[in-house]
Amino acid sequence: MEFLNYFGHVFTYYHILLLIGGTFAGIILGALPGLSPTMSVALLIPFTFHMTPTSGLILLGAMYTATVAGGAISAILANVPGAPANIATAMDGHVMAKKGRADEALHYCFVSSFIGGIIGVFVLIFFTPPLAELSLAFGPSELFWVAILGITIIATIGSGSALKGLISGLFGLMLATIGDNPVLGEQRFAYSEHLEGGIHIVAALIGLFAIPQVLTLLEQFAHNDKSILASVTKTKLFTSIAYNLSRIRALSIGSILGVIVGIIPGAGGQIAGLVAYDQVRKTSKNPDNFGKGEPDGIIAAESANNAMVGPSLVPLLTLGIPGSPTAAVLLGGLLIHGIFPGHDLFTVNKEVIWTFIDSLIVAQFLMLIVGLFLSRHSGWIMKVPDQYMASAILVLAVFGTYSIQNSYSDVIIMMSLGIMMYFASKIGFSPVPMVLGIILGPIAEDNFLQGMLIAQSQGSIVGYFTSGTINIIIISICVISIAYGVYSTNKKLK
Amino acid sequence: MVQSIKIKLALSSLAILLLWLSFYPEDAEVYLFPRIIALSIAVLTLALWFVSEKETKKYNNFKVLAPGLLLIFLYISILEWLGFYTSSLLVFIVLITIYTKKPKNIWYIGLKELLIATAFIVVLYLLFALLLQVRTPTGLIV
Repeated sequence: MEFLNYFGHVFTYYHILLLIGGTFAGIILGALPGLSPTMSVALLIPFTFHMTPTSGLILLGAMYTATVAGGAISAILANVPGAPANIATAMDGHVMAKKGRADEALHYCFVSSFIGGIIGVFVLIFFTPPLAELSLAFGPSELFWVAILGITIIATIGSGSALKGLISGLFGLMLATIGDNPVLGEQRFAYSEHLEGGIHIVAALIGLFAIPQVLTLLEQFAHNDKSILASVTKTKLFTSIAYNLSRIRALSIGSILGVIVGIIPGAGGQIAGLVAYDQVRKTSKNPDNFGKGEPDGIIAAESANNAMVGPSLVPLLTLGIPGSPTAAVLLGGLLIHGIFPGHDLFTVNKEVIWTFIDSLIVAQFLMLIVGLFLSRHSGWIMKVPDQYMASAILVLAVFGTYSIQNSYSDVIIMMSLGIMMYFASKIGFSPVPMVLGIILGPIAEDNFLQGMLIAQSQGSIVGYFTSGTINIIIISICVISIAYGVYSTNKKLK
Repeated sequence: MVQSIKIKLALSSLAILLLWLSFYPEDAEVYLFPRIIALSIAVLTLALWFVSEKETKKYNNFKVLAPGLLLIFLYISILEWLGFYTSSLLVFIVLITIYTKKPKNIWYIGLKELLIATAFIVVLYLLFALLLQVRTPTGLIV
């Protein structure tokens, strides 16, 4: 219970001010397409140069917590996920918003994020040593199977047709192979200078979600439709909280999967939300309601992506291995302040690190309060006329894409993918499997090729990829996931 | 039915193109993963011919979208030449002017539209260019 001793350090005027500022800024930056948690934390690092290590880490931690939750705002209100972690939230959240239940969807989002986030931080506090060992057990073969587990979701997620979902997901995997071969370093499919650097996940995410949304909003102009984002029904906060707390199955599946995915180095929060969404849907009594405004979809996705935050810091703080891209930026923040992750972090710099972890708990409360406050004012965003919303999304999409790595090529790729996706959506394709393919492609290929090299040296490819407890567990989950998908499709056909 | 066949033909062409792009280069080791994916896409596309899919009935009005698409193309073209903030302001104003249902002269830009577009870009500039110092394309202006 050592962490309790350092709460006093968090509750100083200066640190509370930093936490409030970081939370506000995090939620707002997180809501902007393209400004992912990774980038938001990176943007703030220069502001921490003149702070003490404790204050700097408190600000970055608050920002990390808030941006992950903030990304859900644009996912729900505009169908444009603020970050890859919020893709699953958009699938039911935006449908609820279109039905006039934006308020309610945002309540579920912030309450679930809070619950998942608190669970994640407590896992970080109490289970760091065993989880650090577990995270080391993930080698190329285990990570390859994690990617395959993600791919098993593709068939059933986002698209009405399993075949189209699979084709869309595989096309995403194909897009992810553009650029350098991850092991041999040779270029593939780089027919234009714009493709030499490959396709950045965030550029693809913005293109596939934001641009079709811009074009759909503009399309309303021809059909004299009422704005697709027009109606708003106010929902009482306590009604939403009570309902949210009653969804124990969605909350627990989301939080547990978020924790598990969080400790796997490199997996990142983007797949935590999608894996949780898929599992909750598969175990639901009403799986057909998902994608049509089912609150459980938001609850599972948001509890998962925030539960991932704490555990993603386990390998970072104990081994110096970041569990997510944002944790990698936080590693930079630690090193700048002369704090080196490792086994003596909790002894030599225990005051800094425990204060930082305690501040993450306070940040979860602030994220809940600020998030619920902002959701009260979601109404006016929903009433913004379509042409203004389309223009704003377009400008933010270009801004967010360019600022990822200051690349004009990213903007061109983003626009091209977006326009292609708009027309593909007209023939029944969904952007979700394609983005999932782009996210999982590098993880799958990189670990497959590395695993092949190790397996060849060991003399057995099959043996390497199928031995070990973790491999067997993940393979079993993959088989169950596919079998369930086939079973539910057959059931639907009957 | 016709729409469905057109879609299947388009997807089959794409699958053949991907197969050719993946198998044409000689370096099998470099293209191992793309080849596996291209083959999987080809198999699934073939399966699509034997499965009856629901016809999608989403309206598509290219005439309405054409100005928007043209504007997006122009936006990308002038982005590096004029600078992000200036080109964004112009695109914002033109887009809302074109897509606002008012019987107005095309040269007339409503004060409300102008003010909202300017306020939006100014806030972006203050927050990201001045405070957070995020780099954006800088051309002749900003």
